[in-house]
Amino acid sequence: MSEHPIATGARFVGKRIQRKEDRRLLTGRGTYIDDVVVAGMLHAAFVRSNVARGQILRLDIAQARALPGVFAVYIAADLDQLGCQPGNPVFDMPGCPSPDNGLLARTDVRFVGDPVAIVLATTRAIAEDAVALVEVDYRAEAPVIGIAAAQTMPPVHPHLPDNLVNAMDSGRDDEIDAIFASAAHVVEDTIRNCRQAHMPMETRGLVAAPDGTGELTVHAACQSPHLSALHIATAFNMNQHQVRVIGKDVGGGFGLKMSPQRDDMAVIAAAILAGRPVKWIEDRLENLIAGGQSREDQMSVRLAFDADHRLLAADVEYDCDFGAYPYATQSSASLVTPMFPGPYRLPRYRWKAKGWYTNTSGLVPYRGPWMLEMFAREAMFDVAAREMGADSIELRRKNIIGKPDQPFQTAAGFVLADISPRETMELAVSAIDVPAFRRDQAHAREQGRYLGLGLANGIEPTTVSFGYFASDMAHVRIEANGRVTAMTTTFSQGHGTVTSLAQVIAERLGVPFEDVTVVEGDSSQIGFGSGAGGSRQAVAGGGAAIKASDLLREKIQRIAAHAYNASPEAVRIENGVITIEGAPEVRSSVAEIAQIAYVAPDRLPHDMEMGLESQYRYRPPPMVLANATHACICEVDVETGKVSILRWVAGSDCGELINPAIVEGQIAGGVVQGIGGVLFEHLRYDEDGQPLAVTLKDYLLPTGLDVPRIEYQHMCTPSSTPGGFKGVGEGGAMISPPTLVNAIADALAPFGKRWLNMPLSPDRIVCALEQ
Amino acid sequence: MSLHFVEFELNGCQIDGMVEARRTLLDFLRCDVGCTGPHAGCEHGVCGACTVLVEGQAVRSCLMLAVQANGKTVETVEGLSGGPKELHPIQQLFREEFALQCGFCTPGFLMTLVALDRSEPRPNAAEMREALSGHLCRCTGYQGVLRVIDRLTEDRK
Amino acid sequence: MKPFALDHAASPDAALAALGKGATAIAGGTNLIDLMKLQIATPERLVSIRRTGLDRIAPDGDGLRIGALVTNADCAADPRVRQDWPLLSQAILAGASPQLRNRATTGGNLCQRTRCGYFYDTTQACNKREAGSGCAARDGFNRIHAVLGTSDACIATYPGDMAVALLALDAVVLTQGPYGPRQIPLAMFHREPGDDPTRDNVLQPGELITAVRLPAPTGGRQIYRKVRDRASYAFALVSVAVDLTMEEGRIARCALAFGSLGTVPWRDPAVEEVLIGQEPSPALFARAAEVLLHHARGFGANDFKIPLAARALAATLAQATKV
Repeated sequence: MSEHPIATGARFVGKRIQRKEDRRLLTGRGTYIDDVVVAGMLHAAFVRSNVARGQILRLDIAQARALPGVFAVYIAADLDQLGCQPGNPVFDMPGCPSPDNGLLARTDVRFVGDPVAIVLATTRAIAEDAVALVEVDYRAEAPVIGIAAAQTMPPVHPHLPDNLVNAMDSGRDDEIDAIFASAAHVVEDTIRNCRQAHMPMETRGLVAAPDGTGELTVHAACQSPHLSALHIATAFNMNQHQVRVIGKDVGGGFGLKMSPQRDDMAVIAAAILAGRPVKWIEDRLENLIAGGQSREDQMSVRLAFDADHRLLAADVEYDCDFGAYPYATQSSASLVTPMFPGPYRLPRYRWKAKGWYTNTSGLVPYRGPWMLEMFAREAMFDVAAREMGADSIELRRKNIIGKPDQPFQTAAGFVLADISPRETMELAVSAIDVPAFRRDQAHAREQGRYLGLGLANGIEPTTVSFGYFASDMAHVRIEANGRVTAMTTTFSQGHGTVTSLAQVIAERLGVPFEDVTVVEGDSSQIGFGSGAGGSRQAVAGGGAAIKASDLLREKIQRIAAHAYNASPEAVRIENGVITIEGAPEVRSSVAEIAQIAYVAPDRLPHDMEMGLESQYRYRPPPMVLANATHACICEVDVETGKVSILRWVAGSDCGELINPAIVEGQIAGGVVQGIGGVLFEHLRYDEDGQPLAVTLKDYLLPTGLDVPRIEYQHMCTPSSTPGGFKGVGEGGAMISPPTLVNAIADALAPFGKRWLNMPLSPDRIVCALEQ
Repeated sequence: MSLHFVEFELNGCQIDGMVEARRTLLDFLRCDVGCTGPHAGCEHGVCGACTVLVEGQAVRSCLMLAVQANGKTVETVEGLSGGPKELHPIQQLFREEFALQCGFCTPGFLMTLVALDRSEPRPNAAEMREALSGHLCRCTGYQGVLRVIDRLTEDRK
Repeated sequence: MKPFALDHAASPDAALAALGKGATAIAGGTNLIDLMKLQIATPERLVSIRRTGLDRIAPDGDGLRIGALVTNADCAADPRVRQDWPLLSQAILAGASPQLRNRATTGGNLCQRTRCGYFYDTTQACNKREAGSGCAARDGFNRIHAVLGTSDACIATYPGDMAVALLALDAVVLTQGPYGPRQIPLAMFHREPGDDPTRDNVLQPGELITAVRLPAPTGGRQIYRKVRDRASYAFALVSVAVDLTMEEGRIARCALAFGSLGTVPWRDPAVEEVLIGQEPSPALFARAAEVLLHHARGFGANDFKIPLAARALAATLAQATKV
């Protein structure tokens, strides 16, 4: 954090300060969406398709509508009256063909879980009883399941020519094939990830409350009230001020709750039509099959090395399953291939990326949606090392860039600066103690036990700041009693932003941490900002908070200087107490200055505006890079296929840390999600498009028994933003899969196989070893 | 459909209500008597977010009928402390060890830990860890709750 | 859940009377309520049997009688069970989560239904849920399904752990029914699907489990080994229960039961015959596995269970016979 000579105060930035929101959450007094009750609200339940693809032959809602307690049963034709355009103005790629089937399926269904009707009733139980009374007949058709099928089968969306969502490539390159042809070593393979669910512990939900005069209040489990309000207003052709979105406590998002999806819009439409508030809380089965899915993607990678194991070229082909109703048509595809070079010198690079529609729910960006670049590259480096007889860490040492090499332009054309990949790698390597491990590994092998060490490096483009994410705002106000209230466009679903931003503001202003309250979660307060997503809140929210606080501090200094006949530079603010350098008899307070500003304007400098409030809309730089190196040690039981993780070192450079405990918490959460994606989590579909993991007994998450104790090693290369902060939210989730997969591959190296198809569940390991 | 009279002690107070047989204890607590601390994370007994204590034992309120609580003592997270200003020692440990982020799973974890903390003989760290495996958390990677267990078991050594 | 009527029985006789009129018994409800929420079970009338007094654990000669309403948690923690029948304790603790074990009962656990995804999906063909509707698992996703005891009608496994231990321990299920009391050896309690997969066990309409009786302790080395996808709270891919006694370097006595391998908890005396009187060795264990799995048949996604079971058996026997 840049030193300011006057306002020293107590340092809060960099401290593990306990969170302000914890008392409320620990005592069960949080307000999550299902805790919201609006007078007169009805409860919604959806009738959902049980075939993956088919024509709706018959839809009979008469019995359902007649059930006592049912207010209405709406079908597509009803909701279509509102002319809602659910496509996503924020995220859709221009020119990408979008699905068009209205909020409820019209004539045909396109995935198991596709909503066909919505029931509104006085209780959720009655709504579900009514759902069971709706009769639907389908003529099922062969569904498009899997990327290979998408490439050849008739389109999922009949109005589109094929199943291609988007296609991009790096352009023609006539020389790269010659490089591959003459290279000393060429390694190639395909990494296949497996479909996963975000699985926040709280499912989606909202309460849509129309106000008869054409206004709408939506209580939402969301990641950004402002972004949600924008999306809803655009979809329903309302003015932004007519839509107010309120979020209080949200039980996790991870990308799922970034903005209202088709189901949410259907509930809002139903509420508008009904003229009554409507609550919808998704149940877990809906969440798993219709909530949006991710990670069903693959990358074919070819790497060329010279005789000295230096990278010569890479040629990659990326394909991603977008499902039927993706939340955004850009998300992963736009970042996977540009980020593939990572923190390495890669002289030559060619890439192709394609997205495909299939008859499954829909791609919704999930914590590090482009993570396959890191996964594929780091896993293939280890494959290459084994093929070439090289040490996998040495291989990386030969190719990785470090601080002295920057600024460094990657083969994908953007510039790496303010990161420390080589240095962070060395830190992680020394922490995991490779020589000691190799001795343990050799000893274990003699006893028929298989230990492995895996490592992965990655850089993360944090603080996404394009389009609607270009800025965030903070409004900081000192109340007449000297306490500080800040409104920000950040929004926490567990991120702890009301604590971390309070740390920043308290430090910049020179007031006690306890005196600062950060308020978020209401789109009608403060101007537009984009909330949580793209690992941005520390930088964007922190930057706005710093700038707004600095403006306010300067005003305090000028008022105090005027009141005490000093120069503003001599005014010190520390712990809310104001002293003047060179005038030891003066002892004032921020509260006293606030009194002057609000109540005694004659004591203000001439022509100064009254009040003590400031506002700043901060624009982060286009890219704030962070980097990480994780290393882990695991044991694989070759009898049962069980993987036990014994140690995990998380090396990371996230710049200046506002609250190290919060930063480590973000890393840990991501790491464990990544572990789940490698070992346990798989949203399988059978060839009829039937989802096979529909409860938490089938979709297995890591539990407290499955996780290592993570050891954190922090490097600090500040970013060039006001606080020197960097984002951290997604990095852990991206880097942990290749770290673990490399460890498993190292453990099983004596068996000579490649481990590139997820998940690596016990049965798949056993089967592969049997062959 | 006939209604059943249900009456039990909730966090030290007698409460009662009239419910359909099919009403789960979770829904009764959350909707009928204002205890929104227990949460519905899966409604099929796996995630643990709905965990409350019945007769001092940690159980899934989503898989219990309200009528099955008749005549019993039920404790939810709301009963652990006098309010946000005075935290139960285990709540305080959660705060110190950053064992929560979004907080949705937290009430369930707390009830199981409180029950364990009261058990005789006192479980050791491995036993506590095993017991907490019935609680899913998506935000924290369990690191904080593992530290809470360390502190709970080392304090008593 | 569909609406239903609920009565409370104050005694076993009252419970039997209600069952005789078509009510379904509910004890802890951890399986039944789950099934009812998904409308796989839709009883119109439930009778709660929690107050019928069937919740004692008491000696029965040299054996032990465990009431049907004893919770899994209490059973596993009982000092007599832990001391003399540790296999039962281990198996119970390997199943479900502590919170479920606090409510689930001995009787309920024996009656738990399969985990087959098609059984659980009312839109899919399932002969167990709906006679004659077909079996979607045979050609579908059958990763957790049985490789032994299957029929053309059904390949679903019984998913519990406790019953596997009880099978190895030669437990007997005690019931009361319209035609009087019965004593059903556990080996005969669960039914292979055959032509009628709708009935998981031999309980007759109106019959109620009152207790499970364990015979005199064997004093053998008892191990329950569960191979699963995750360290905790997951259903078994394969499990092995062994109760083995060595004498002068040879296997004198051996009881083996397997979970999630067959459509019912699986015990094959022929496997035990291979082992008895022999010196332990990897070759012996492999022979035993061969006998066990000779008629095993995979359906695609569960083929891995065959080698996995062989390995798990070998590893468990190695552990049980270690000096």
